[in-house]
Amino acid sequence: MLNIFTYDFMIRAFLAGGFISVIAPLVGSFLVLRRLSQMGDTLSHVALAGVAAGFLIGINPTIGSIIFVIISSFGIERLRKSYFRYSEISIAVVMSAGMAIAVILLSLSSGSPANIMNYLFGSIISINNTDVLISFILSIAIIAVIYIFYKELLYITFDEEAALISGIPVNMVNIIFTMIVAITVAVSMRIVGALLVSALMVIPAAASLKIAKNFRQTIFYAILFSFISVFVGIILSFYLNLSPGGSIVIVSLIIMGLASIKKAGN
Amino acid sequence: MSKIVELKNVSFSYNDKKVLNNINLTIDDGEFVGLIGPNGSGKSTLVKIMIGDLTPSSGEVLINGINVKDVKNRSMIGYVPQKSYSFNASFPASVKEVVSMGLYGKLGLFKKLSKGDWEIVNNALKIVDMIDYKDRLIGNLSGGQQQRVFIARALVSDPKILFLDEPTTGIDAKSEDTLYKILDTLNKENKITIIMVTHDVWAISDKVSRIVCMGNGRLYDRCDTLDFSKKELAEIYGYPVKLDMHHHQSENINNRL
Repeated sequence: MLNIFTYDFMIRAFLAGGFISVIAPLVGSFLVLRRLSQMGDTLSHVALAGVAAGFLIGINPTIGSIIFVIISSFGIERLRKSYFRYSEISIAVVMSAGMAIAVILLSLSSGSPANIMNYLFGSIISINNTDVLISFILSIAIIAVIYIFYKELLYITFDEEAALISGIPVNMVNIIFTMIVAITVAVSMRIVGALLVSALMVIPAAASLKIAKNFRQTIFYAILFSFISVFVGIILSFYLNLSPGGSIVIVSLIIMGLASIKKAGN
Repeated sequence: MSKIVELKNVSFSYNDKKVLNNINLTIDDGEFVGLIGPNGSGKSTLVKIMIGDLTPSSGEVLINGINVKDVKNRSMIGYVPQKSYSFNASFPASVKEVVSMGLYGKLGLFKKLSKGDWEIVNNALKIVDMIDYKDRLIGNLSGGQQQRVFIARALVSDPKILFLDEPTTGIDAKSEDTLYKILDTLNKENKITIIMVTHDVWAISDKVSRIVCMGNGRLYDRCDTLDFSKKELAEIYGYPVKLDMHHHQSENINNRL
């Protein structure tokens, strides 16, 4: 059997995969509990436009997608406020806008279709040292921010109105959170792909909800499940020559199924 | 007695609809006020204005003589919202996590809960007799138990005034009794001024020190416990009210009348 760790690209994949397996469910747990599960999906479509823009003007695609996603995440917030009762409109509109811009930019750029496929479906072979470094720095930053604002995020997620009344700076924390979501999406899509990035944010959190006894546990199990999914998924994709994104998501779905069975058994 | 809450000529409109019409109200330190009125009479709006969550279209709200919007020490105002509203019952938070949230605003940014803070959380849970449930998920409790947890959440910041919006909605008679006992202790022993909204006139008439009636966005300040008459209630509620709504309570009131 081939030794998986003799390949540099596999080591890079495990490193970058390890980082996103922590931040995606960490951020995703808050998203799920705020009923914003679709947000990751929308932002990943916008991130694709950022990747296309990166190809077109020759900057790192991950950085391009971060810029696009941050801008659009504020667009979502604005739309959410103006369509107060139909807040899901904002998510649908921004998703379409992201896709439209991505397609147009791609038709303008001469980048090879294979490149964009890496971002659509995820890739472990194409991850370079810069990608590993970017995902490392941004992951540390995201973990630090969530650690710092943990109690404010928890309160706002639980009851935004009560948090506001008790004097928590809800607007500021929401803006910071929106940026974190944006960065998480941009970083994660490198491995799992734009089409499946929200799965890694949502499924481990959904599985965790079935068994957690408090909020800390919810976060802990979500990260644990995601970590297992990413590592098992990458190994499977290597030996069976499957798409890494697809493998990771299937493993996480199996874990979710097991968590539901455990819950039903209790 | 010092005035703790003062409303001066407060009016409020949602879009074009006038919800509150020139309200004047003074509440003294240590009072237990029942704010009653039918659904849609503007009670919840009035409470949200008193805690500074909504800004009146005209008039002003003073807490201890300071405009509520300028009150620096937000933690002196405790608020237990109508539970059916913003709260997600399947949220994976334990009882003690929910109660600890009441401390977050007071602690401020960048600070973590200390051991002493968790002591405060435990004490609040003891006051509402929920300490045995501290590690349970909030969603696994009954409505009455959840309501007590939310009262504990309001208590941890050591409030001087406690606002409760329809705390008895959806809880059984026994839990209701427990709740009133807790509120009585808080009012008499912990010296917390309590302002409680309810549409349940008879249940609270012998629990509170004063009743303020609301109807059609106005206050009827003459209607304290002994002033009830069918005619006045009919005016407030907009339809004739029978006195035997709550059996044991109505007997009480009939005797006094």
